[in-house]
Amino acid sequence: MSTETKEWKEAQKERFDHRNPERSVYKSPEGLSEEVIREISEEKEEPDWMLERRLKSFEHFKNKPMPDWGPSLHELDIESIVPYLKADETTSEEDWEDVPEDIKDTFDKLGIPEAEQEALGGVGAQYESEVVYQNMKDQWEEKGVVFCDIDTAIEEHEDLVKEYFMTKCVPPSDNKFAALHGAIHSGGSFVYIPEDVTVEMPIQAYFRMNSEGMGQFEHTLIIAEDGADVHYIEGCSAPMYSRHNVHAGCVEVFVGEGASVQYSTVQNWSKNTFNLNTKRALVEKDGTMDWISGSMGSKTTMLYPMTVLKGEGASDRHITIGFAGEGQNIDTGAKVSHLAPNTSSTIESKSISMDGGRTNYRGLVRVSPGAKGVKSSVDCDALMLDEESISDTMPYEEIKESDVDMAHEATVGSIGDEDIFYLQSRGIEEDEAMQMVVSGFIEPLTEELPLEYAVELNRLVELEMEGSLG
Amino acid sequence: MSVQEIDEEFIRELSDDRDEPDWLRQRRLKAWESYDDLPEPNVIQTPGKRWTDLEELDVRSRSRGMEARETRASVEADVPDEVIVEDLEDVVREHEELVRDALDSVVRWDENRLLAVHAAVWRSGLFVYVPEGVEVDGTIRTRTEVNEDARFSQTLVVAEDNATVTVAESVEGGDETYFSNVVEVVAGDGAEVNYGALQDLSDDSYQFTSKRGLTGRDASVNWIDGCFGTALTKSTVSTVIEGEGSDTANYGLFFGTGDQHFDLETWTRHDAPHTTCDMFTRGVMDDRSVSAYEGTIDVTQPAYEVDAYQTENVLLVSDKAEADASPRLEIDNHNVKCSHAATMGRIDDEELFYMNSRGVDEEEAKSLIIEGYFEPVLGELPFPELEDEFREVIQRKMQKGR
Repeated sequence: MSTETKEWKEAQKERFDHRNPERSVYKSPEGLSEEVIREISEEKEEPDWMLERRLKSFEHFKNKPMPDWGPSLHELDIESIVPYLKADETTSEEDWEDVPEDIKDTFDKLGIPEAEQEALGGVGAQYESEVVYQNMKDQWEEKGVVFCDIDTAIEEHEDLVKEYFMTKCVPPSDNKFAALHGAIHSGGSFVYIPEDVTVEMPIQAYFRMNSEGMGQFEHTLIIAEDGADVHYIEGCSAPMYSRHNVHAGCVEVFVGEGASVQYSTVQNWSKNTFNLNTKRALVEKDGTMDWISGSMGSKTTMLYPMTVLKGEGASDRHITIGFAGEGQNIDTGAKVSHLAPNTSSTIESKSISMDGGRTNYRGLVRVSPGAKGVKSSVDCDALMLDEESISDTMPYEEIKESDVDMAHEATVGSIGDEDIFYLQSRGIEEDEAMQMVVSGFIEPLTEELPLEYAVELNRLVELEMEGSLG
Repeated sequence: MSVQEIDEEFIRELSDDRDEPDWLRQRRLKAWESYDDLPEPNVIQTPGKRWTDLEELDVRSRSRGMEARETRASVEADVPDEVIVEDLEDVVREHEELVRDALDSVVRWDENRLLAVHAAVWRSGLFVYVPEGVEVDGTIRTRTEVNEDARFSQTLVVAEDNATVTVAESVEGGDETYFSNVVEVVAGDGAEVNYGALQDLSDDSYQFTSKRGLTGRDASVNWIDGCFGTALTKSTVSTVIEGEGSDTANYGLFFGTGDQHFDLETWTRHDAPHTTCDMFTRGVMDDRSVSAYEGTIDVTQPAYEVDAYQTENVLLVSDKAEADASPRLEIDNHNVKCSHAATMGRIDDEELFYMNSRGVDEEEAKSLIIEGYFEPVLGELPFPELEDEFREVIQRKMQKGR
């Protein structure tokens, strides 16, 4: 390994593991109660309807069972999580210079402002429970594109938020963590793209948890009107603590007729984080939804982005990559519901497990009666790098229509000795050879991301694999 | 004898009539007592949907009337003298040690409640014992025409080291009958057991079946299982590969018509290195029939250099038919090659058009396509006589649908 790479790796560790001393102008008590929820709502000066939705969600949360069909969640103690933490009075600055110094420093280390200048159309940054910075380039703002945090959206676009927020797409009754989210959500983004507007550069939101034992529950609501086109990128990280953090985000995407939305996530939560998300998109006629997800971090991830293809000719694409190292359980997959004729879906899943890590693909494809001419393909490949690792594949397919073309394929295997031997015979060291094979394996994901992110992701993989060969 | 009538006394009587040894009587009683504590057989559940409703089986009240009418069962076997082929209930005393060793050695009655009821009231079935090194050339053939309201058949096939045997069973008849069929296959080191089953009961009958093989070293257990009859079937065909160097083939065929519902599970567990499995199931679903298929390849930690393949193809020939599938891989060892593939589709319009243009009318073209669809599985059968029967059943079902 070259010195340069080594230095880079040291720098990466500093980058993600960097922690600021905790500071807060408001910190809720640990655990959940009606009182805490009322306090959060009051702190945010929300309208009554939002408080009512929160309280109703809390009822659902109390009544819903913990999911027992996936990874073990017994170490997750929701009662001791800090649901809300506001680091600073100022929220949602449009000028980077006004963001408090230590917070700015964190995002500088993560390379956010740099990326904004070079490759992004807009950037939002959330620190703990509140968004600290949000900016959209003028050229799209002029066309009516809205990119702001949810609190601002409630103030400025109340009707839209009231209509779309956890009503039609992900109701709080959907599952335990959606209900939890509905009760104590804070921060996140609101994106509105008017009819026929194309945002050529991706918009990015970065979510950072800094404090120990806290929970982050940001909400992302994207509305793409007919013919609109947008690429939204979400990045996540947190430093490592001994107590568990929890991230239960919720993403709702509305794809209008002929509209196109790509939602990309690169998640590098610290390995004490429970990452339990609900993400869903409703797609109208001829609309397109792409979910690109890379799950690198967290202790346990449960993530199954869902697309409901409502309108004829709508299409979906999922590319999902899970990378599980020591102590990690990455349970990811995809759900697609074909409700209309001539809809199509393509699911491609790649998982890598090493050092005793566990990956699982869990997917569901449903074809409703009358949805004629549906095409769906599911492709799952798993790579296991050592003896201790585990990889499962569990797709479910429910087909209630005969006029379909449905295919599923999966493979599990290890890196071929021959591949490694070949690369070694060309003078490449074994660990580097393995990294090359893995980089090639995840290429379908990296090629979907802007170059900066692709490079970043490859480096993260290298970082994870460092020292993996004894 | 309804559910209220099955009780400890009934089971004791059944056991006494057969002069069963005490361990067997206790097994029956214990299984019956445990019913409420045991889970239902595993059924896939996805958000908002349970793939098969087992309530319909209503097993305890269907257990009545086991001796109401005469069931005809025949066994044809041309076997060497040292090979045992008998009805299991007749040989419990005579071969007590063999039976005791084999029973519960592969399928355990406490896995679920339907197996517990089965263990409590089973009556007939086949016992095949092949001593070390004996190769049985011909097929041991059993035919059963069920004429009871409920039949509980328990089959044990034991092949000692380096023995070879092939068993082919077919079951037909039935009139709102509950048919419970448990098959345990033990293949010793270097042994080979082939087991074929054709189920063609009446469309108002019910079937619960669990068939499982256990392999020693360098052994082979091969299955072909055809599911054609019944209103509701819950079937599991599986192999546990315990010994190094062993292999299994697990082939299945199903053809659903009318309102039939088939819940078909196939799985292989690899507990040893250098083992292979080939799972291949094909089905055709017509009318309003529903199939739920779950196939699992499970490779546990000690099993390296495993090659395991699984394929499921379903042809949907009616708009109202439904096919659910979950082909799973559970892999705990990295040094493996495992894959699965599943497809679901309909008859290609172009194929129909081509045949029409050659003067084949649409109905006939459909039949030809359906027949042809089963061919890749039928071609793999090690049982020529069963193959003909499979073809006959497929033909008959196609005609009935027309």
